[in-house]
Amino acid sequence: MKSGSFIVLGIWLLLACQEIKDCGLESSTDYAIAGYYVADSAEKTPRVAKFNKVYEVGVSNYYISNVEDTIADDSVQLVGLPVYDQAEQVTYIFETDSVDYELDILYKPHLRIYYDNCDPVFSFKLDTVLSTTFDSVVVVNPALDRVVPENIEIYF
Amino acid sequence: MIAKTTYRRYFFGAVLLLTVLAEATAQGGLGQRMQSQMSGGGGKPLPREPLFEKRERDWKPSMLKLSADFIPLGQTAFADVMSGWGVQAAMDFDIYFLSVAYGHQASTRGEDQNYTYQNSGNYFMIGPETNLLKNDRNGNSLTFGLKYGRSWFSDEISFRRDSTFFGSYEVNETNPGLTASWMEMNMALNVNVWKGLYMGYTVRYKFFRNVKGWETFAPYDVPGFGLYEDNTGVQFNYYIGWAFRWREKFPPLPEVN
Repeated sequence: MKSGSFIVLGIWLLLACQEIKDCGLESSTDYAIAGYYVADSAEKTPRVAKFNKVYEVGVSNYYISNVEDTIADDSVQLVGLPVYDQAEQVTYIFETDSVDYELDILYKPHLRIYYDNCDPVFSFKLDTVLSTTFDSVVVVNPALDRVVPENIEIYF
Repeated sequence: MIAKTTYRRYFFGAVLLLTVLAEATAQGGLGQRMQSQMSGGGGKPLPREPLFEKRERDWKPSMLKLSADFIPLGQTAFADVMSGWGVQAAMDFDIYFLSVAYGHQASTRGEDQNYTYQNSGNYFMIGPETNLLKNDRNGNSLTFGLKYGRSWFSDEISFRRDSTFFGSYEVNETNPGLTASWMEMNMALNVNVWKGLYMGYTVRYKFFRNVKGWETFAPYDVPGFGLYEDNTGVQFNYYIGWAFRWREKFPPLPEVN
């Protein structure tokens, strides 16, 4: 009979280790952080970039940045690029006076209800990034999350 | 939210305490029986033979217990979120039982939030149980079991999403053909109340959860298991049922003078 008590005690200990859920712990984001870097540099050197306009090809009403509207912020080293949860790819155009750079971001959206008292949340994991116009692009961290400082590095 | 979690812990704590008390009661009963046999009467010398002779294995089944789970029936009647039903069949082989549970579960969530989630499916659990009350003539059992569980289900979610960049749009995701499998340990107390009527509860701890059939939307409920997000699950069943006996498992007790 003592064995039965040990089994009950073991189950009780397992129950005591159940996770406490909190809506505020969810930290996933719906944008990728892209950093600009100098191409053909021996060391990894951040680059201050200035684009006329950065926008997603399927979204006509909004743009990420515009040199005419955001004078103070048009020279930056990082940019946040939103991803769309109803697709698995977004394409961003980085306009300059001389050339339009193109960046394809391929990803997997993941919808879940973390806890039924919280709203459903999308999280995203980057598969790859492609560009025929930048010198090179690379995914450095696939998880879109507040704690991740940078997801994509863009070299040009 | 935390209060709800705390409530759940207290609830299972109480259930497990009852299990320990029931076990202690069963031990007390056995102890009293031993004491009454040993004390005899009139100063007679104590019998030298062992109280229980070495029992021969008896693998031939003697009964089939069919039970209904009253927890999902109660949820159907009184709860807003969950509904369903569950049944269980168990057959004895020596001190072991082969137990099969089957059920249906449906849930609707998010009515207080900004989403609608619906889930529906069937499940079964099958596996052996060992009766820790080895010599109980009434068929009472305190069992420990290891089971394999499986469920087939579907779910869907819909809500409106407001994105500052992509605008406002409706999100609808469905998972039409989900399957889940898991393992579980369970502890059950089943007591003979009257003739063939039995009642008792089962506490199941579920682990090794594996769900297949989804890509974008992770299911929230897994029928028969619990919550997908939890990785492990705990289920409480209260069974009331009838045992159909076709032979006596134990020979009649000798008369004690």
